Amino acid sequence: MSNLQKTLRLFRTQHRFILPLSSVNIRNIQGTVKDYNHSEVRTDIKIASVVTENEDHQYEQNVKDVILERALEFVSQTGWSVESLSAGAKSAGYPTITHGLFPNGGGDLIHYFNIKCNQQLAEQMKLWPQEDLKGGSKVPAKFIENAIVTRLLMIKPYKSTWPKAMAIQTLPNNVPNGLATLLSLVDDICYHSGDRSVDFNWYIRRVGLAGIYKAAELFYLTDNSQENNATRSFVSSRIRDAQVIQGALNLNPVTAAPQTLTAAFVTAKNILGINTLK
Amino acid sequence: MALKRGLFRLAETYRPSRPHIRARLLATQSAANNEERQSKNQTHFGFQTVDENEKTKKVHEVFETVAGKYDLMNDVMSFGIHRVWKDIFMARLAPMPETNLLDMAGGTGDITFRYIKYLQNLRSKPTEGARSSVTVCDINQAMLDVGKVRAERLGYTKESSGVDIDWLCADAEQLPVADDTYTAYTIAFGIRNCTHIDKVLEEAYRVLKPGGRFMCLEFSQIPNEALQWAYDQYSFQVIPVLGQLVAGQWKPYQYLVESIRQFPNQEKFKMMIEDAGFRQVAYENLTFGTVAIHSGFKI
Repeated sequence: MSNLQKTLRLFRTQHRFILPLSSVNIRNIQGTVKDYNHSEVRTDIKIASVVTENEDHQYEQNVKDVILERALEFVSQTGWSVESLSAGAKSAGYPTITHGLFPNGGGDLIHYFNIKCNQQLAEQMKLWPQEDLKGGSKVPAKFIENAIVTRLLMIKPYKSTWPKAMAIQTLPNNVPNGLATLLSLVDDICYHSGDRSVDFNWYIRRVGLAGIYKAAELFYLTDNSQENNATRSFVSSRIRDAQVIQGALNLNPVTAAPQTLTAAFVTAKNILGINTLK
Repeated sequence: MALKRGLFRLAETYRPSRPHIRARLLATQSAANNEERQSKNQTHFGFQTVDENEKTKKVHEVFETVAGKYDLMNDVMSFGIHRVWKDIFMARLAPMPETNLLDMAGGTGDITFRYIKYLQNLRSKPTEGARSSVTVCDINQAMLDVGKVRAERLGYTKESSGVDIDWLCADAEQLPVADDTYTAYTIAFGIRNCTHIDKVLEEAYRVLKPGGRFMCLEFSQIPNEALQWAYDQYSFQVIPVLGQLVAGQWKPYQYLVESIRQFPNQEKFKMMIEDAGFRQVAYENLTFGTVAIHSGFKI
């Protein structure tokens, strides 16, 4: 034993490069014994810290939500702005300066409102009956129309300030949030209307629906008709358009050949002026 | 480690004519030095190690000597960019009516005047009884005097500005202020000079109302090596010379650049703020990280 120690010492003093090797070995031996205990303790600590972190996060989120909820009450007076946020903070019992919790100002308030409306819509849609898909129609048009109109009517209390909100959403730093809420909205609508597709249609439906929703939103802003009938009919005709487009895309080229040929002839006739000769 | 230190010593002895290299090496050793310091109640004053009481005294001396030329030197050293930094700082704070601000280490009033101007430019006029206030606090009476003169010259009085202005000469580590008094606490280019940063942060937490915001503007570290090198060259070779030429003082500006190196970097300072109890702590780098704005809330 003492011989071994002596040789080790010799190695250490004379050949420095051996030192790391020997130390690694010793550490490894100890490691396997000790680590067993250590790892258990470590996982315990990790879990505890994760829990407290979650709690902290939840607490901060709650404070934010309270302020945002109160701020919505001031939107009709001061718009989607820092002023509303600071008035909301004040009515929640915090100083006016606490609006700094929302670095995007009005953008964060709009984001909160969108998420809230989307959740409400999802809750409602769960209770709606699935549409009976009979006959040739493959699209639950009524369901989608109802969903879009219901969602649009949630904006009603803030209709006068909504154009500005739409503008704020297009600011570069708010675009990611705006797109995310829009996509989660159309995703919810598609899912609850019974879409379970796993092919490329999944994308087409969602993008198409997002387009319809945004167009309807714009239309709704200037809609003064009774009970928003104009918006309703606008949405239903856009859905019909989408159906027509999808039908055209799904058309079999062989069955479509006669139609295409006739169209080509009519066009040629028109160009040559033969149609007018009659 | 021992080997490394040996190398450092070698480097020091071989290149005594290049003080900035020595300075960088010392900076890398500061972690080791910190431990030694704590046992003996010592702290850093630039790259020197001094007693804690002595640091307070020395910082006091520095600012007493530079007070008169303080604003001029800020402009010269930063090419006027410090004005932009302070403007951005105030835009991030975005005070609203009914704010009670404690402008710590704000002797010459740079932050306070921006604060008043920001409140005056708000679109919504404050309702009756919703007055804002600001307390300018500095440990150094000489700096406060400069600020008072400037306030007078700029015409910022209680009546004309609509904001109550108070001047207070006090130590950031032990404020003579009741708990939950202010809604905002700012400290711009000041916390670096305090002996116990953790104590300052604790005091800030104490005097803030729930929901109050802590904001700090301070020199920080540049994450890019090449830029850091250029910045070091400028700091150690140019700034003390400028100090000598413009203000007739070398030492205070030597201290200035050294104290910037000693201050914890963005992430570390963020952790310190969180340790003091603040939530939603975030920071933003300005000009590649030359300075950083840290922000936290007492919620």
